[in-house]
Amino acid sequence: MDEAFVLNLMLWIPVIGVLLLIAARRNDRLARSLTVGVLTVQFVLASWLYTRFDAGAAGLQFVTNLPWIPQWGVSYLIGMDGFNVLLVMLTAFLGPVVVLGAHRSIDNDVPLFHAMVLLLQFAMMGAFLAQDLFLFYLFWEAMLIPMFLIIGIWGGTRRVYATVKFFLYTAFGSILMLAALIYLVQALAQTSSVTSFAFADLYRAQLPLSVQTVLLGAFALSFAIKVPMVPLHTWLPDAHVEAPTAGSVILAGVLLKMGTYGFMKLGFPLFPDAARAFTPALMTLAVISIVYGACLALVQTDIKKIIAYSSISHLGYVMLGLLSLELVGVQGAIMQMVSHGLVAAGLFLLVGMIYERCHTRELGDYGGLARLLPVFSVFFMIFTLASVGLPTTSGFTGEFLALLGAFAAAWPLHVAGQSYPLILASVAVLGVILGALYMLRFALTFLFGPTTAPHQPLSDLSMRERGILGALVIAIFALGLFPDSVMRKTEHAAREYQSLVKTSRLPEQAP
Amino acid sequence: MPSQDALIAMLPEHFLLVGIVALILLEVLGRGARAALWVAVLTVSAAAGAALFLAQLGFAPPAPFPGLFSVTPAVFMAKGALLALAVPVLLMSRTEFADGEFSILLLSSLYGMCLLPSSDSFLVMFVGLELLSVPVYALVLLAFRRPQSAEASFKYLVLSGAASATFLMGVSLLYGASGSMGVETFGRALSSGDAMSRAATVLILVALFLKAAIVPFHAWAPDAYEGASVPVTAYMATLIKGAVLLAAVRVFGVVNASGPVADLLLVLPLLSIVWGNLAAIRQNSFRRMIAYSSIAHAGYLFYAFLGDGASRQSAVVFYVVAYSVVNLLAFALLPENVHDDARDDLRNLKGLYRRDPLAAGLIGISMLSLAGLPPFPGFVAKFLVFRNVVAAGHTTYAVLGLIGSYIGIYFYLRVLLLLFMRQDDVVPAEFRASSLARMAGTLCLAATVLLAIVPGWVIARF
Amino acid sequence: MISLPHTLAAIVLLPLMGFLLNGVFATALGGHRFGNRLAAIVGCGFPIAAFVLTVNALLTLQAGGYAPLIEPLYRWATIGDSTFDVTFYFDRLSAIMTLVVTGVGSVIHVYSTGYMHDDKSHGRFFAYLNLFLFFMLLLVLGRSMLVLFVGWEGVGLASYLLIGFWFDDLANARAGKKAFVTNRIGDAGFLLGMFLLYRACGTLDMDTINAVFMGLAGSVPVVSASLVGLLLFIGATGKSAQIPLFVWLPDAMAGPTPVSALIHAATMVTAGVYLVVRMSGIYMHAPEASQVMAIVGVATAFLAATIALVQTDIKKVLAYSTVSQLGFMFLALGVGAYGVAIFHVVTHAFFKACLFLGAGSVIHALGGEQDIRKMGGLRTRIPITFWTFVIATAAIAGIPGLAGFFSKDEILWYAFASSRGGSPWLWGVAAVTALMTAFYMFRLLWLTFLGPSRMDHAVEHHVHESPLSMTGVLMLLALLSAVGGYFSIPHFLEAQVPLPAIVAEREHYERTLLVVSIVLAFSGLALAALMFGGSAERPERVKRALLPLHRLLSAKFYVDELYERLLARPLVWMSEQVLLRGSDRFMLDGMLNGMAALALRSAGLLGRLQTGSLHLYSLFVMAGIVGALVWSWRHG
Repeated sequence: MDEAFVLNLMLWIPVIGVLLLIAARRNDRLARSLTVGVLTVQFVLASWLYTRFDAGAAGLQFVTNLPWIPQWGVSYLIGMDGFNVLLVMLTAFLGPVVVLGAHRSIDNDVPLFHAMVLLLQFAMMGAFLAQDLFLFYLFWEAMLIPMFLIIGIWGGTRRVYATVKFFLYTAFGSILMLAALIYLVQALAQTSSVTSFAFADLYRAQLPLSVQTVLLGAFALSFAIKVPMVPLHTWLPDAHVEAPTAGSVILAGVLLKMGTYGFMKLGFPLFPDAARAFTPALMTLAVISIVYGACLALVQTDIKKIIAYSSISHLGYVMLGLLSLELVGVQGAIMQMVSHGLVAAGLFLLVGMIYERCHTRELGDYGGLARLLPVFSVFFMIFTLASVGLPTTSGFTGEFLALLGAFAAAWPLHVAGQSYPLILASVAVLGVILGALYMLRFALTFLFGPTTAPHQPLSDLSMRERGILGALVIAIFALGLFPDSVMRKTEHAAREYQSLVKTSRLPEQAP
Repeated sequence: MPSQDALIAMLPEHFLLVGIVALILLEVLGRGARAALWVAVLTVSAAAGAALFLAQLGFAPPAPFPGLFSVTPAVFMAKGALLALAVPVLLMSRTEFADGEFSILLLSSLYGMCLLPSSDSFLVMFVGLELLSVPVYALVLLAFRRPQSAEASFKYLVLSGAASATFLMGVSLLYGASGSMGVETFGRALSSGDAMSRAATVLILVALFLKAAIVPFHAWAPDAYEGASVPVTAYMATLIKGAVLLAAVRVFGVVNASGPVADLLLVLPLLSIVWGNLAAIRQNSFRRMIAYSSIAHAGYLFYAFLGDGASRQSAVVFYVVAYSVVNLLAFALLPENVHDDARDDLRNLKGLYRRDPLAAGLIGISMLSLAGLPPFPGFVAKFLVFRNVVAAGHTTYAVLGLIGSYIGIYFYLRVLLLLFMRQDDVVPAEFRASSLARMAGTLCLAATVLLAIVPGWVIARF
Repeated sequence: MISLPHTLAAIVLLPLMGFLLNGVFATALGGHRFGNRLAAIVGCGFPIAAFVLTVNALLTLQAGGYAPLIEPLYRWATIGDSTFDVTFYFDRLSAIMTLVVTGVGSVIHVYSTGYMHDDKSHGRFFAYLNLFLFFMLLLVLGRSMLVLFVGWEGVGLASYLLIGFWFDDLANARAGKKAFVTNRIGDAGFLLGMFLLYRACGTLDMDTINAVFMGLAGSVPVVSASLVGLLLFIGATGKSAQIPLFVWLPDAMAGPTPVSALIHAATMVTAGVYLVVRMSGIYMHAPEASQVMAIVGVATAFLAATIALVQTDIKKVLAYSTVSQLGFMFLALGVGAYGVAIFHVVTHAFFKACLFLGAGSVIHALGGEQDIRKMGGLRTRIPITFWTFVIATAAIAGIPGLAGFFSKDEILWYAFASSRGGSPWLWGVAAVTALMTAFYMFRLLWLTFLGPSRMDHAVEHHVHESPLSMTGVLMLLALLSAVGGYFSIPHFLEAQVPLPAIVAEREHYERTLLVVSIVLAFSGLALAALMFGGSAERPERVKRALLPLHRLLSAKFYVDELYERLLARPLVWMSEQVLLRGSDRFMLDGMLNGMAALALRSAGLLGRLQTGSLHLYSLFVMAGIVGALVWSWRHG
């Protein structure tokens, strides 16, 4: 079968699913099983593509390129490459997991909910696969609306505040990005008389440093909000707390990766000189995010907020790795993205499951769950340790390589007399301690001590729940113990990123 | 053979004329309130079809009426598009207006609209503008449900009268300066230095601003829209605005804006974008909200005039179409209610999804499109405009405009939240939009989908 | 000896299998399919098999003339031209460590079958113990620092789980958390060191790194040995409970006693020592780092010993004595006597394991009583435990002829005479510590077993000797504590890690010092006998005489309170008040909500302009027109 076709099918199948849902009218059970079916098919297709993906070849694979708005040079250009292959897998994998693991918390407007999940899945896939800036922006923005409704309709008590905050916060970044991308394309058209939105063409745009800086600023703002990097993070805790489990899982699992992916695929490669000029500043932000997120996670009393802030901390490592421009660091960053996707998803699922049983998110209301729910506690422990970055889990692979990269980059500078990056990297390592501190505090009050939990007796995890979490756990250990084959798939992309960002693209001065 | 050219050149207008006559006859014979609507729909679609057909043919006679009236394929296209937009308006009118006069007035207003893009002389254009607005005073008044209607129509009458006066003033100044009534003189006046022609250009622009409700000449719009009935509001918000913009396009021709006019085009549209979007936040009347949103959209539309003259028409027409289609979509599916006020009250949309998912979904889509969010046509339109602005080198104003549009997002979202939020108070005494209105909605939906999927193809047509 | 493929891998993976089997089938996860007996068999079987294989591997090593066995397992990651392999490395050093880990490990497993017999989560216990062995073996057998680090963190996890084994009591779980986090602080240093080494040597294989620093690899390292050395040493202080990170070990006694014996005495806590010896190539060229190590070591030894003098919990005494003994080992490392340190690791493993298990047996006999003030007179009631305890005590006290004597004496000697930073005052402090060691150990012996019984009657009449599974182990370990010193490990290791040269002018002191240390051991014994042998008032009187000192010591120098005040509380306060309230809520969200409010406010304002009065509207229009005209006249 033709891979490019399968790729398109994989991308569009959620839309087909939505149409089916509309056809299915208001039948909740049917809607649910339809959605699960569709997303499973999508996952199967994605895995097939993953196996077909040639790690040895650089550049795009399974490309589809159709002119769409020819007069602007916009085209429907999608394809797989090392940058997105893992994230596509992650998205496809989490799709069915989310629906199977979290639909319990949804009791009203079930078909609408599943339609929104499918649309979200479609938009996220599209954003990862798009190789055309216009198309990317379309998908990027399209992600907001389903998420907005998921939080706004099925969320908690302050859902409206949270969802509007989420939407407006993100949309602000997007607006500036829109202005920047319009300008970028115009500039490209004027300098090299190429009217195109294709990444490949934009990578050739030559801009003076000042322009690069402004444009990078606009792009970075938009991406940094999504990541989120401190101080642009305050939407995340609210969104997570108010969102239904499914919302939190998708948000933490995939949506946040959009930001880092944006930096990796667009922000830095498009404006390499500005990126290099501002590396210290961005590194500082990344490290601040690591420490800040960890510190705040330490003092939260809402179990969802703990995980929310831990996400901020973990994604700081991704930024650190990306900014190192070392192969190790970049690979680590990619691994960390995937790992965080899996771990955070698992933790939010667990929180959702306990919430379904006890209907409280207050950490203080719990205690000694290890006695009450032994199986639940085993899973919780595993995910906690993965989040702490314990070796043999994927969390370690990502964190370790990212930090290794940061050091490999910082040491020569230090030898050359510029110690600031080294100091930053060292501070980042302290994040490892804080990570253990807040996660174990969480586990301590949650699992151990005298048993206190509302609504006893509690039923331990059902087979369905065990299956879902088991799948995540397998993935986590696979990435922790045998990351090699996975990282081969991304190696070329990492190299490409490296060379793109390292080579200057300032316009050569005319004599 | 010029006479035949003349006949074909005005074919759409002729269709409208025939339609009007036929409708009047029906009225006189006092029968066929039902028939009237279909006659009108038939006429308008025929006119639209003719225009589009001629555009496809690329029919461009040298000069059917030298110095007064001329057509080009592009102009035919524009007319066709706007006339087509009139069809849903007619369809949704039935619920409010049982008998034929709505159709008569609408068609005559449309006739005026058709004159605007092809007028070579300011006289014709003036006639067109008047013909466009005068029936609407009546239309606003026609939905005499509550005293506001009269007041609204009166305000509209007075202020757009002021617009006409300003317009004439400008034209006469221009005549004094150049000794010609041709629209192309405006273009020349833009570049010329003398105070008189500059004042002339400014006055004409202001007149257009008034008709299109640009801040600070916008004040009539909210009251008029709220006072009018739903179909009339829909008509005013979409086609009238579009027509005025087409007139503006005609006036500017392919000349790039410069001088004080350019300054006005930078400042006032930006002002109305911000103003409109801000003021809309607090509204609880659907029509008022749409009024403010239309003020903001008038701002985007005039932004398009900053761009290079050649690409102006396609940009404006595409924007008008994209904007009108979704706007009409929303109006068409607005659930009906025994009390017009209740129908107009945003809060009654709360939980509409539960009662009528289709309507809720489509209104939601239209709101998102109005907010200019992808992947809906509103986004492509906005993109088109701002692209031109940036291309013309006004990057700062583009950014400001975009930020202005950002402010707007909030109140569209608010509608969305209302539509989909759980219903926790009493269901309003409403009933679904009539089948005709739904038909209108379906048409608009089809158009929306088309615009969303193949925007490039559509833009290429304009 | 039989040569098997993948022996080393098998050694490491056998305990893992035990963990998986028990972890799934003997716990709630698999619905307790295994009964206690089966769980015990599985739990002990795999470690014993691992021990057998280790012996076999040692024979192979010997047959190969002690050329290191290198056994690649698989490639963890390839990044660019640098690769991270999981390879096992078996040389004299790892041979000794592996033997200790599997050997002592196995016997303690056997002991546990008796000790944990009627614990409700029996299976979980063996699962955890096996897990610990797996990681510990990974630690000592890994060739790359990466593998070592995996083991390093893994044993931390296992100890976390086992300290908090009885998690219904929050205090135990808290102790586990404290251990893990404190270790993490050390690990951060470890990581830093590892990163620098990677940058410097382009690899994490420890034999290569040593070669680089020894200058054998041709390339010169770009990082200073001392910096790396110190960073790695920070890691070691965490794992091996040295100043300033020793605070977790005493609390770790919250775990079941076999755990204290295996993890917190015999094996895990010596990982730091192993690390330093493994990296001796670096430390040989890092005099400053070595200096620091020696000083920290001796200081730790001294302080811990002083605290041990006054502890009343039988396990706490042993815990502090462990810290103190570890201090001795680091002293040895500091003066470059790596082989000697390992020697002490081994002997210490024997007698400390024996002591802990003996203590366990006592606790078992007394139904959970741990306070030595409520013991006494147990000599006759549990004779086997008593006699084994005596031997082990004598060994640790350094009574001549027993294992502890040899290793400790060598440490003292090198502390005095080593050409790599040995000095009289180091010896002096160490010697005083040795005296204290002898004293507090005999004190423990006396208060527990000798003198009149101070048990309350409820406890007293069901005192019973432990089952064979426990006493047998005790006897075995006692034997090892007795004879373990006759196999000179430093000499065995010399081929790999040479002993430091002796400062010429100090050579002739050797005999004198030997005599001195014997005297010290016996005088410790004598002191204890004098003080606790007689009436109970005597110690009371001494205590009253030195009350402030006593209070200071029993409060452990208030170190925990100090850390609480200096680190924990400020961190929480900063996060709570400054970051959460100040920054997040007030500044950032405040700004946002402010902007939203502003928008609403101005929206209201604009709305109010829409009065509906035509006059006002026309006024706008007029103003607009006039303004536009004026503008057009001014500009353009």
